[in-house]
Amino acid sequence: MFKKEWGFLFFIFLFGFQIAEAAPPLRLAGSSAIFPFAARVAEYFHYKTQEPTPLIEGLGTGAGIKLFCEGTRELDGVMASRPFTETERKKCEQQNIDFQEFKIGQDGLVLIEKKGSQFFPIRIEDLRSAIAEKVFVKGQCLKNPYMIWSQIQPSFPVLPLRILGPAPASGTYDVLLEKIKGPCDSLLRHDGIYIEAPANENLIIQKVLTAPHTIGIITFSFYEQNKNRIRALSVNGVLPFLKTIQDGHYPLSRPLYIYIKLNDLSDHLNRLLYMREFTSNDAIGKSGYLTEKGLIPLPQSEQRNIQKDLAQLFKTGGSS
Amino acid sequence: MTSNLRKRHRQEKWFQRMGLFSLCLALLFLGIIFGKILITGLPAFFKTEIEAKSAPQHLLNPYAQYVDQGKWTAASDAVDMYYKNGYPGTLSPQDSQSIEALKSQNKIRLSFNGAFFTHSDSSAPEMAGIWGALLGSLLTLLITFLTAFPIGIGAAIYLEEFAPKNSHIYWIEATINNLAAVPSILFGLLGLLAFIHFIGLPRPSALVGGLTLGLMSLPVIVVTTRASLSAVPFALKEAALGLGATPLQVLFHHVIPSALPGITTGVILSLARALGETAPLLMIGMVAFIATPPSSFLDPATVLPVQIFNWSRSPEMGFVENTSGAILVLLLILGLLNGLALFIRKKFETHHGF
Repeated sequence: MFKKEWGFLFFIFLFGFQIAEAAPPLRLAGSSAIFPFAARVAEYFHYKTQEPTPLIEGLGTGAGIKLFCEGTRELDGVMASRPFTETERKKCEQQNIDFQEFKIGQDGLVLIEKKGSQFFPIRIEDLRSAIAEKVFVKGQCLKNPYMIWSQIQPSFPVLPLRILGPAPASGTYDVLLEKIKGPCDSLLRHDGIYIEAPANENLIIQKVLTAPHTIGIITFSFYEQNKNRIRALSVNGVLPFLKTIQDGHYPLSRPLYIYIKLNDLSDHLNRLLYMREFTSNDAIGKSGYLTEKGLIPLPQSEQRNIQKDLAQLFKTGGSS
Repeated sequence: MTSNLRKRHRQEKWFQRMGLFSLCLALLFLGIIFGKILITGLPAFFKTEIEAKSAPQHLLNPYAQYVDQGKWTAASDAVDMYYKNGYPGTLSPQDSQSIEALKSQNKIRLSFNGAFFTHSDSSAPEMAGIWGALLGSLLTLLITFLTAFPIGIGAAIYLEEFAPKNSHIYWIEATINNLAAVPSILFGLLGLLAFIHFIGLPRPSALVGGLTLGLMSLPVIVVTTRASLSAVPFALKEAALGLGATPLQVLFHHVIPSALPGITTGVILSLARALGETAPLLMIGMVAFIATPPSSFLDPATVLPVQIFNWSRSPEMGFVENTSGAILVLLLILGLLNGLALFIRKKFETHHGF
């Protein structure tokens, strides 16, 4: 009677422990702002080249870079919504990791509010006064005293300040901090006015929709997908459009990067193949599939330069 | 005297009413949550299909141009949303016109979404499915069972039946009880440190996930097993001992069979908890985009709750219904497991019964 059960268990073991014959898939980790794009490219890459679908992890830029620099085997690439810092670069070099930077496009941080709420144009200085921990008042750096919009600008509505945005581990947070940098070196405020939403922009959108008078800070791709429910605020008088972000008029824009490991490149040419798909016209061209998903493509000259870099890497990587 | 009696009766009636009210309130909340999930999730089991030849390429799913998907091909996310809810989204007016034209020619239809059960994760909601996550959950749960079950039962039997009653053992007992109440994310940290950094097992694999969840289930299994072992009447053991049975015989012939319904229930319930667990798996890197279903314990894998978590933070509208659909499947499986636990309990209670 028991033999049957044991046979079944044995079968499960055989099925479970069989060793996969296919080459291990590429692995990328990092910014959750790039995650949806990288996943989409991964699938196209699979369908076009028949290579296994790469593994993409949205851990946040900082965590991704940390993993990337841990060793030559850990990750094939890292998605970053800001460039490497000096310390990160040094740490990577200590581990003998050789890598190449690819700028894959641009992204905008969009200030959103619920459709139909009171619209007011905001300036970078106003945003700083709203969310920085320390502000410059009367010649000195003080703890942010503002609680109501109209305290910042008399023309603003008399509404309580309530802003939802990225959390510290993410590259988006670092970029936001960089963009609103003023005379006082400070983080974003911690007194409950600025609310951190870790790596979940749908949550920010939900909160903006349900709680009145809330401003959310999300990335452009999420804004694109939810345009029917939310509205963007203009920053310094410029609204976020594909064009204004691409030409740099919109102040809250940032470049997005992918870093690819170059160690033992001749054994890992699929890294370059993946990047070729990522920078192809199919993906980031004028009506490319990433462009439609909300990635803001590079100017054409820059895109061509990257494609040239890749071709060069193919030559050197293939021969060495 | 009579008024006093009436007062006491009234009090009892009020108490009963309050209980009933609490029950109704709980059911109401449950109903609202479940109803919301059901309403958003049911459309996930149906998807819009277009006759591939007669439609422009960009109305089909993004991968239709690379793989032949048969005569009826899944429409793109935007078309799916438009056809189901009439919500135009990113479609241009020309697109919605051509959809209306397809509608009048009967070349667009809503059909059962089999791909939701046979496909793995995809970045396109119309192509995404739960197969990879289900398989990952199964492999993970198998590892959890294989580690937590023997170790947990063994520890419980030793502690309950053989361990000397000294201060060391009391200390161990207290620690196990505390561990059973520790937040699950701490087990994730432990798993990350022990299995990935120290032993160096591959990062998002069913093996590491299963071992971590095994650690998490272990204290619960020990506690429930000990409870059901201690519920076996002492008279039974004494009678067996009196008839000349050795302690080992008493244990295996009498105590364990009597305690078995309780033990199995405890094990199944803790496995059900492990199946629905997300937090510790986030720590060990199972939150990834994994489009290939795992074929071994060492392959990159994700599990159903993590898949739900991943979908819930995707920008596309189509993932909203996919998320709820996957929740429905998870709830169904959990319900089945809990039903199984109940069934085993009822069945064996009548035979050995304590």
